[in-house]
Amino acid sequence: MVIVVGTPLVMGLRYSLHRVFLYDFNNQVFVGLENYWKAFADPLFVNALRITGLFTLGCVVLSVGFGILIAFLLNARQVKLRPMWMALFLIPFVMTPVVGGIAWRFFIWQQEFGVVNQISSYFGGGMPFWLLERDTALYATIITNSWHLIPLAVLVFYAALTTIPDELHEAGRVDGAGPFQALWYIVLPILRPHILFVSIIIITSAFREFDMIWALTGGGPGRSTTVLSIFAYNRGIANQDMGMANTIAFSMFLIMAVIAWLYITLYRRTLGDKA
Amino acid sequence: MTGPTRRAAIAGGLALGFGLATTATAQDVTIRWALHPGAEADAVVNYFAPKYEAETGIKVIGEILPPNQLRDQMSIEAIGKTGRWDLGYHSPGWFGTFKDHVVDLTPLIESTGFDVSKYPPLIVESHMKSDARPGEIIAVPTTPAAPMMIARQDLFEHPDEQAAFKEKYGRDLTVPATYAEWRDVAEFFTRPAGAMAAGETLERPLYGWADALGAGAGITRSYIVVLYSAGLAGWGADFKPDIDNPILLETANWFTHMAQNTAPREAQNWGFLEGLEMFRDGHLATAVMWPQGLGTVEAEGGKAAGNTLYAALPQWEGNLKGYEQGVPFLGGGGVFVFDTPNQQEAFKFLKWMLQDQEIEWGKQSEQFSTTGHFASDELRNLKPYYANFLPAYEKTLQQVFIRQGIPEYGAVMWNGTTEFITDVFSGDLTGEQAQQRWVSSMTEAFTAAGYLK
Repeated sequence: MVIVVGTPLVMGLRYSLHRVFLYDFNNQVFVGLENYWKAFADPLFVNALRITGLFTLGCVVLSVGFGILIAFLLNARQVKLRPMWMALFLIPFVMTPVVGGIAWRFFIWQQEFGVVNQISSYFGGGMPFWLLERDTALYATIITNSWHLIPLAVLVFYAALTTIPDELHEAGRVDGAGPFQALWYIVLPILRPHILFVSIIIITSAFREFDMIWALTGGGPGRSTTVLSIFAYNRGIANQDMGMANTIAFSMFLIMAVIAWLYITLYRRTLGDKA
Repeated sequence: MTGPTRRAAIAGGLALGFGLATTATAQDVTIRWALHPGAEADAVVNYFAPKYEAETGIKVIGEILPPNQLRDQMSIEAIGKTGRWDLGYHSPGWFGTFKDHVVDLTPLIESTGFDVSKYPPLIVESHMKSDARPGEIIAVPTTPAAPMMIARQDLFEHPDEQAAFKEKYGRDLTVPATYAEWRDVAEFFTRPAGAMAAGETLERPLYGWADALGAGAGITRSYIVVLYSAGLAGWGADFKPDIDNPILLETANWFTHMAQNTAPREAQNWGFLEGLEMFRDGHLATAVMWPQGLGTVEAEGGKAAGNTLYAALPQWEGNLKGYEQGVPFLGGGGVFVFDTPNQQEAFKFLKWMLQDQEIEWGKQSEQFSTTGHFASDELRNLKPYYANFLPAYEKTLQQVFIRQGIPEYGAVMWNGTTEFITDVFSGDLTGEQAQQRWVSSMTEAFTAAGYLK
């Protein structure tokens, strides 16, 4: 396990400390932390960091929010054919992100024939180029990626909801709580550790997302959806600068490690509080 | 059995055995070729490969890769020494990238009688040689190509349009001879749906200019032509960057102005030839066309069929090199032979396809580059519009930019261009910021490579 996880990490770290170009791969020169200084001094790296942060935050909010809502609705007594609904909601999650991205690009966001603009024009709205406008492209990618991730949240939250004893809901009803009061006062406090768990999974997924964004926008227009993984790809493959690409990738690893450590600490405390 | 009879029987047996072995060997050989999509790839896969197999028993498998993955995949396979492909297609700007993985073709050229003199010197320089392998020939040209300007004849020749243009600009409406004139013409013809154009009411907007503006290769391919036309080369003989010249910002301003004001928004999705469908359908007044798009432009039933003017790209007035017309880079590509056990058979196939089948290659691939192609009556009379297209294309090929085949080309020039124009076009960086960034990265790469002290 140490070898499997450690080898790419060590190699990534090593390359990040060297000047390595794909076109001259055998000529590797040790440059210390120079690549890191260069990266953090580059406004485009800082921009990619900002875009990645916004993208990740957006995906977490949408996925957790809709995940809880859908799981809560699915768990309602009135819902029939529950396995069918579950299976339906899981489809986006089992779809390859790049296929999902292409499908959304051509069928949902497409300017002339896309579903969104068809609905918009039906109600007399405009027909924007969602993926070509700097103001909307990032939102569109967040929504599309959340569509892919929401089923994961639904699955976890639904499983958690089924463990809440009926007596608690009964007691809530006796006290006059409506469905949303029950969600707020009964369900959410119980789901807290699950929310933290789902959040960390979604954060790690969204933070390194590449395929979906690549299929949707390729990182554009301009740099408006260039997240760190795309920035690293551009440096490493397009520019053949593997030293800088590994610097970006290793920086991503460090950022993610810190966030994961904070989350796990918080998760343990939450479990501790619960116990 | 007498002595002579025995000897004859042995000789016959040996000959038979040798023949069978040769056939078996030939049948065992499979040549694998990584191809760029296009008519020429289709020609290889659907026509030449089956024909060659029928003639020789040698199988040729063409694997058509997505354009934006071709170099990456070939590069990775080559570094990994997997031997996945015997032949690889690429545009010459990247030949240097493969310098450690491809064979010197000079001995194969000599042994097979491949005639290099059939190609114009610029094509030999660009599509066969590389600064990274001096003194060698490392590729053969398959699709040398350069873009040209196309314009809708009915729009330019309509009396109402001519009068309106003269009134507005004080000169005759003609196919633009300079980039500045092109801007005027493009602005003039950019009109919303419902407006009139050449005496007809437009059902959809008309745009004055278009080129591929899609992220990455699309916008780069389009803009780099303007950059070269201004007389920039990226760097000089001493490897000192010339992109610090203010003319770079002038070209970027021209390009962003055209892209934002005279081109359809859809162009930002186009990677190469997609926009020519809009020209075919009558929604563009002028456009940039690579010869691979000729069939689309002249498609039967389209508004541009038999109604298209062809010209070399216009001049950038005040360009640094005194060019008299626009200077596209010589694009398209050539094929190199990877260092695999099949290298000899692979080259024999190339020789057969490109030279023994020279005219057939022109017909099937719709690519013209050899003296034989331009001299062939059969090819010239093949399509009705070739009479207008071919002279303009010949003129286009007279002034082309030969990209420097150093290993760093892709990183410092092509992707440098991508980043520069993307950042200026999107407004993520100012022109000056993007220019400075590009100059720095190029200087750094050349210093690291030892070209600059």
